[in-house]
Amino acid sequence: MSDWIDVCATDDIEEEDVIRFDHGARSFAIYHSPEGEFFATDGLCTHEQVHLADGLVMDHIIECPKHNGQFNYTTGKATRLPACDHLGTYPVRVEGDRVQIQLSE
Amino acid sequence: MTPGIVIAGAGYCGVCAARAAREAGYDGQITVIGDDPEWPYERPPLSKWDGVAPRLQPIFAEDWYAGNNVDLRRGIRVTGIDRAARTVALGTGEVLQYAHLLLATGASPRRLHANAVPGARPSYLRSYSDAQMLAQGISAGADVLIIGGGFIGLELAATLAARKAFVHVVEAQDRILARAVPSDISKMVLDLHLDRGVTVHTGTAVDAINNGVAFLSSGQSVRAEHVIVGIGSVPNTDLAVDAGLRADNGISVNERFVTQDPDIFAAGDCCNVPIAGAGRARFESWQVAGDQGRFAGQVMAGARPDPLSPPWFWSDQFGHSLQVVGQPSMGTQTVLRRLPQGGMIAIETRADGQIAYAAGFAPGNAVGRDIKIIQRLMDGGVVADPTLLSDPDTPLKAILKRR
Ligand SMILES: Cc1cc2nc3c(=O)[nH]c(=O)nc-3n(C[C@H](O)[C@H](O)[C@H](O)COP(=O)(O)OP(=O)(O)OC[C@H]3O[C@@H](n4cnc5c(N)ncnc54)[C@H](O)[C@@H]3O)c2cc1C
Ligand code: FES
Repeated sequence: MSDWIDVCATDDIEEEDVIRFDHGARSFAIYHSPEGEFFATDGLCTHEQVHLADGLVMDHIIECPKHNGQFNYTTGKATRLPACDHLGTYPVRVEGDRVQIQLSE
Repeated sequence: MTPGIVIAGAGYCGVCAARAAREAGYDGQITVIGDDPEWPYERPPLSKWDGVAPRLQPIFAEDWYAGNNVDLRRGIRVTGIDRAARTVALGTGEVLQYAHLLLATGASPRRLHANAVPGARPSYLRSYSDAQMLAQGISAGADVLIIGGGFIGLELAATLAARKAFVHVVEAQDRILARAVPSDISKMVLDLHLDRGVTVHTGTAVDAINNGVAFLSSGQSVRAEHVIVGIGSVPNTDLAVDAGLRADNGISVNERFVTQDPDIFAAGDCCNVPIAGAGRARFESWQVAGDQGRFAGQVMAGARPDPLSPPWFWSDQFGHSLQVVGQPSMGTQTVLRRLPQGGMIAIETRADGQIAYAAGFAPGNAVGRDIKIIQRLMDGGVVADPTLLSDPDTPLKAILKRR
């Protein structure tokens, strides 16, 4: 089973920016791309346990605030050291003016 | 077998070089020889313990090496280079041919001069085994004297104070971190240490140590059951010098990290490299070591190297982080940007208005994003209005986007 979970309003995240979203014990990073699309990844960097919502979004890349590891947030792929492991990604949809993510159990 | 790339030193620089060469499509032999017995690990956590002990954090997963056909020899030293034969000798007696040799031998802690502090039997920190010895030797309630108010000394002070040790830091200069950050930032770091119970003696030397008591030049004496020295590092240049290569505060290389010998490269903490318009420098920074290794790896692989990033450095103390980008004292004007979450960034601009350097210090990771934007402003040579840079209500990203 998987559910669509309400995250925020579409204008709560500026374009080319990221916010933190916590759900239960899990934490996510939700992105608004320069093209106006929304994406979701695991919230914590795979290098050390640092939240990516404090990082810098440039184009489709999120740069970790701590040691500058980079990920493509549309695919989760680690694109720059010291990050080696990829991030999990989650489906996102926009319903009206709400951003929702789909989490599997 | 056709000789390939041989890398002496399995620190961050060496393994990043191996990885970059493979990622650039190099399909020859890559051998990395490191005298440390552990799998290549991150050095920065050695002074920033999460709890009571240092963490051994591997740089890459152990299966990365074999999976990418990189022959990693752990616990083995390179003992000599024969440039005419293009070989290196190993501590095991083996001799290896190379087509390209990268010296990524790093640095060692600078030692106190013999008799500089009579009675001192200090510890130093560079390797995981050094860190383990400190963790085993120093318990809660211990009296620790740290000589040197640089990054390693202060990080250890914070780490040990958090473990309930009584810590004194003695620094010869009149402020801590004097070489690395502007005075406004060093004052913030100092205040944090004082607030957390570390005693800091600036403008002070240790005259002698006797029976667990240190006698300071100020006339004070303090208990010093354990003495740790963090007064900088010296580059490991012996291999290069013995092979007739030039070294002056680091193995001399050109802007492509090539030594006088076109087949021998040097990168990371062990090298001294020209920097655009500003003479030469030896860096002691995790990211710079990886970046230089990456660059050398791409060149050795015959690929076109991606440009180097501006030098960047970070430090963690008492849950605060400090980040520095660029080279200090190249700027002519300093603007201060106070962060809404607390903390501050000092930004130095040159006569032409471009940013030369910035250092930020704040709780958590609050400085990270702004420092990364400043790095991009530097990369792009952007001339930014100082009043905007200092205005906390003007997001730096807006300045970046406006150019
Ligand atoms: C405790 C500590 C904390 C640090 N914290 C930070 C930080 O927070 N931020 C930051 O930016 N930087 C930090 N640094 C600096 C950073 O770790 C170094 O800049 C970086 O490790 C340099 O990498 P390197 O590969 O050039 O050299 P090294 O890491 O020194 O690696 C060189 C390796 O080569 C080996 N070697 C030397 N000679 C030989 C030989 N002849 N044969 C075989 N092997 C050899 C050495 O034993 C070593 O393992 C810290 C350093 C220390 C010691
Ligand atoms: S925690 Fe993200 S790069 Fe280190």
